[in-house]
Amino acid sequence: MVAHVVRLRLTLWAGSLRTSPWQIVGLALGLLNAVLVSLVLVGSMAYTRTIAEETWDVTLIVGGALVVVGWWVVPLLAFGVDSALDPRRFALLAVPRRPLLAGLAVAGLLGIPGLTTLAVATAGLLVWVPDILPIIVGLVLLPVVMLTCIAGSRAFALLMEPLLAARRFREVVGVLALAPIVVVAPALGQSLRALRRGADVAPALIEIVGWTPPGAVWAVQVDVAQGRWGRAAAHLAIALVTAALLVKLWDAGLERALTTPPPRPNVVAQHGPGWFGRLPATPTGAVLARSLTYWARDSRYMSNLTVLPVLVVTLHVLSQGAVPVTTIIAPAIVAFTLGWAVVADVAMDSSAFWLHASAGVRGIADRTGRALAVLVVGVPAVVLTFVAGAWRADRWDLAPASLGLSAVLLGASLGISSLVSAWVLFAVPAPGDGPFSTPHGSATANLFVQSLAWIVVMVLATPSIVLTVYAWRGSAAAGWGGLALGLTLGVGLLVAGLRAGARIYDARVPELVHALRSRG
Amino acid sequence: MDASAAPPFAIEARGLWRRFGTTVAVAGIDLLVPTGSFYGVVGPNGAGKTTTLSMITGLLRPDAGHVSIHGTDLWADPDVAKRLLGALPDGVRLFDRLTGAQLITYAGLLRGLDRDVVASRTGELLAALDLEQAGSTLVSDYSAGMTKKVALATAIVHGPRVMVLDEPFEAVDPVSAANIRDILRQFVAGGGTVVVSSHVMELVERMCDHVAIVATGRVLAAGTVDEVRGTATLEDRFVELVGGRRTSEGLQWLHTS
Repeated sequence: MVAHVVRLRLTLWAGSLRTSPWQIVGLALGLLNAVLVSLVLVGSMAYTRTIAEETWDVTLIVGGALVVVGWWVVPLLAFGVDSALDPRRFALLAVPRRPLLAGLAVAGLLGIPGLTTLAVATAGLLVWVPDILPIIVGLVLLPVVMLTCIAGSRAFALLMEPLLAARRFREVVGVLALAPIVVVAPALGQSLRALRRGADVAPALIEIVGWTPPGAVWAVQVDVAQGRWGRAAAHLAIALVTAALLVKLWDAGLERALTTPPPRPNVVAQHGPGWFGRLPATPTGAVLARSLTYWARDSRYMSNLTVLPVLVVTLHVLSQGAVPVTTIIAPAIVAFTLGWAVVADVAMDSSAFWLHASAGVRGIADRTGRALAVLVVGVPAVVLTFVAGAWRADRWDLAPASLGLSAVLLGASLGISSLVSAWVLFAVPAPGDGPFSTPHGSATANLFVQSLAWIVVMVLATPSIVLTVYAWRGSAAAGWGGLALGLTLGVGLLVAGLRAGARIYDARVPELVHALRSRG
Repeated sequence: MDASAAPPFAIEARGLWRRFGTTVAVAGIDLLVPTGSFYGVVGPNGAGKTTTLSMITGLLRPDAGHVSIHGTDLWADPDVAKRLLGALPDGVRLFDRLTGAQLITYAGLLRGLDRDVVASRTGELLAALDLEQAGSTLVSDYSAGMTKKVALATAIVHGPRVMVLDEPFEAVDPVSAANIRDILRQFVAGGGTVVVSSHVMELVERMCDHVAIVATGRVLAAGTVDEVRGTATLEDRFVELVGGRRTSEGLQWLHTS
């Protein structure tokens, strides 16, 4: 059974690679990235060891615990669980549950996250050289580490599934992600300050984290190295009980997934035409109304709106209120991010885009409607972000410079993404999937085009950045100049991007429909 | 243009080819749909029906071939031709985060209709397709049949002269299907043209006056239903042309008794 599931995983991989050469490039880049990250991690681990043994202990236990927590939590918030091996797909095959569980566990290793974790955890053991005992203990415990990671990630995903299926909940998940950041960030700040004062927080940190379920499995090596056998046994017990409980939990979740249909979301009703009745009755107005409806109703769009406040709060907390960050950088990031949001708009429509093609919507109407929706959302978001920063710092004098920079970034990124979205279909989650679930299509094209476009935006924004710097140093004239330049350049770039995008759109409509239909 | 100069064909497609990678989906199809006809396109799975219908509605660019809609070259002048067409593709999503009423409104506004016209037509279409109760529900919560019906509404809200409907009765309940047939018959009686694809031979035989049998990307037979079926039933003729019937000697293990 294990061999079967593993073979299935590999076949699915091979199948997805065969669909397009970009997939192979994507895998190669992903692997390269994983190797680089592993090398950096192992290198820095080795380096901490050269500083002092205690530093290494902290790195191992706290870093290891973070990795485990990442496995547990990230799928819920960020990437979604590997849907290719969704246990429900096995529901109709009379597969015994326990062998299936074992198969899924091993198959869970076969992925870039699994292999990276395994590689880093293994390479980390070399740091103990020449001490042989902790290496042996670490090797023996590797399966426990991986089981804790994989079983935990699947167990929590299955456990949260009914909650995640409820639309309301999925929509507030982004906001919930705010909570840990607000809690963790000040704690991090405190510890950093304590370190700077020279206080040694390491022993306390090890003591606390080592006794938690995600940390215990890493603490065993340290105990063995120090020859503290009693503590080693206690930590080992915690680690084993954790792994066993997670497997039990996963097993129970699997049983439920195999025997009950997936939860259905509640039916939502809305009377009347909504935005369609309030905006001009033109194709452009209709596209705008549809986009605005989606910004408010589709979790893939809403995630933009829930992530941004998280981002702004994080910036405020981490920078501890540094004026340039809260008044200039934060609004600029919001402007840029929202302007870029329209880049995947056609891809988000999925094959529903046929309606635009069939109705013969002109490119300029399509492009403008979608971009206006971003402006409706984006302009207030940028202004609010600036107001929050200026309020806190009492630096209203930075308004012209900051808003000018944001205008350029919003106009440039919106213009360029309006052009790009008529040309490249980004990989996005299918309609109805969670905002962070596995996207359909090649993610490599995303990376490549995105990097290129971001460079272009940065180049276009350079004059405004320079003026903003002068304004920050106290030149009021530079501020007002920046505002004038920002508004002119922003609007100009937006209009140019819309026009160019419309031309590409008009030429490529059938090709877009075909590409979207073959995505399913 | 005056009536005497009007071309006799609502849809005139000649020499359509389309390849996907190494597979040839459509290999030189001609489809001549007379104005005012009720035209059925039948064929086995994978025959190229959907590909053909996509190419005659402007949703898929043919590798070769020519399509005109009431004399307008579809691929040279898509804006004019698409105004004459009402297309219902198969196997596509809808903007399903809109309510049924919003989706039909959206389709009407995209076509450039007035707000009042859109509002009254949306109400009429919802009523005619038994969707009044569901008008304020999100399309994502619809059943397969309801989704098909609302998609049909979006395809015809602008009052096309030619409807091209890919599998319009799939998953639709019998009462709604009968209602849709009535709508289509009245449309044809009023001078409109309808092209439907279907797997169900009796339905095509009962409903359509013209039929084309398509298999492996080619038209095997086309003409009036009487011409095509001759003395046999359409189903017999279809099986004869397409082949593929096998005597059921295999699967002995499936016979439990």
